[in-house]
Amino acid sequence: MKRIYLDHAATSHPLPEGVKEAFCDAACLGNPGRSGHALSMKAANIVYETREKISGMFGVMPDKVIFTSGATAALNQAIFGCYNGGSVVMDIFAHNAVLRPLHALSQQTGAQIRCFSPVPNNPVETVKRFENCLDRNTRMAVVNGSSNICSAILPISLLGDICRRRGILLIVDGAQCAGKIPCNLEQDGVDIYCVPGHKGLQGVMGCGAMLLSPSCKTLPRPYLFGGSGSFAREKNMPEALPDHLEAGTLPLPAIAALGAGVAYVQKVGIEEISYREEQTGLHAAEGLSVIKGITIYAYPGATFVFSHKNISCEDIARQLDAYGICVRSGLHCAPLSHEHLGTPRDGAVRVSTGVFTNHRDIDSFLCAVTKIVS
Amino acid sequence: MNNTLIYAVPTVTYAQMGVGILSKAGFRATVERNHAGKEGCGFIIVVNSRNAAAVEAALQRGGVQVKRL
Repeated sequence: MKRIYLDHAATSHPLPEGVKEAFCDAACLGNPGRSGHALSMKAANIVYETREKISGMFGVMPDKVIFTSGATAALNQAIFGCYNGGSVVMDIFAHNAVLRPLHALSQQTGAQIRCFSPVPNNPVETVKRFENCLDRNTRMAVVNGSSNICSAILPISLLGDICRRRGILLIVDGAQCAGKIPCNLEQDGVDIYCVPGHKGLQGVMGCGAMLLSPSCKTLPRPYLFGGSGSFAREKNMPEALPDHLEAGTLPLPAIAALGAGVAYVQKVGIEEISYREEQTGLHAAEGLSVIKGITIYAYPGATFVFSHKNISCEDIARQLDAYGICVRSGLHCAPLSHEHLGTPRDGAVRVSTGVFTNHRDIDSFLCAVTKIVS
Repeated sequence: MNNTLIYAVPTVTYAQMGVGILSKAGFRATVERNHAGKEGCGFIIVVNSRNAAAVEAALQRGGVQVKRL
């Protein structure tokens, strides 16, 4: 049975050519940045090449590409490593990778967390609401570049402009937009951008990165401590980046795969990838909209959610799986977004297309949904 | 006469950045393990040149901190 994969917001699939090979080849090398023998040096070169590719894509220096275990680890590092008092602003589309660290931060420090509700496709109103949410004590804003349950995109450069003028550190959760929406940290006023390796950047699960803008004045405090391969007699983490924030052995195979994935994204082009994903996503949404009993929630595009008036989302996802179609049901770690869009209490079915999704896949998906609901 | 310049760096990433910058500036440079010394992170930049001023100026422009050994 041919599998039709419509769960790209969870992780991209299949891997572009060269990614798996890069992963497997790197699994046979030494520890990067530790020893001076050939296997270790080759590993270090692969890590550096990936840093360079990412730095070129986002307009940062290679030493300011900090590898982490994923976007969640990057967000935790950014939030806990940079918080220095004051209130923090977040948005209604926040994933639990932002919601939970901010909740923990509030519990630990008493930080006031304020939440604003962006209006997708209306940057003027979004900016107004963002500004209304700021107070004199706001020192940090953690915003979602793009929702993981719909195609709502925030006007990051406009928010960045406000943050720059008011001296607010802007952290962007790029989990759903890295590799899909161009971002130059310096030009867009973003201080810290957190990305996963396995979604829009087309790598594999196991690594992500925290990117620091050239003009970011805050050097995050480490939240992981350990070996860096440098200055071993020092009890503190080395001051120089990236070693300051990269304790322990790096996930070399995942980093190598990420390098190959980024090369693929650069070859095809971010605009082309976004266009393809949006077209197939809209095709799916249009097809669903004429099926009786289906509700499609706001801001459809490459990613959107739907429900049926009589069949639970879990049931729809399970039955689609029997047709070989992969979607995700539930709340997608984004409870506020679901509340905002007005989905049922148990959530909805998410459809998220990828660069390899084609219109025939969508037709098969629509055919399966039609059979399930009838 | 010795034709190489050797520099200690704070991290292996800086060594790699340095090699990239020097290559673009027309120098031949490599990252090597510093088996002899205690300076820096344990890795060094070895540059096939005697023109220390030009090498260091290029590294400085690229934001790579080095210490000549």
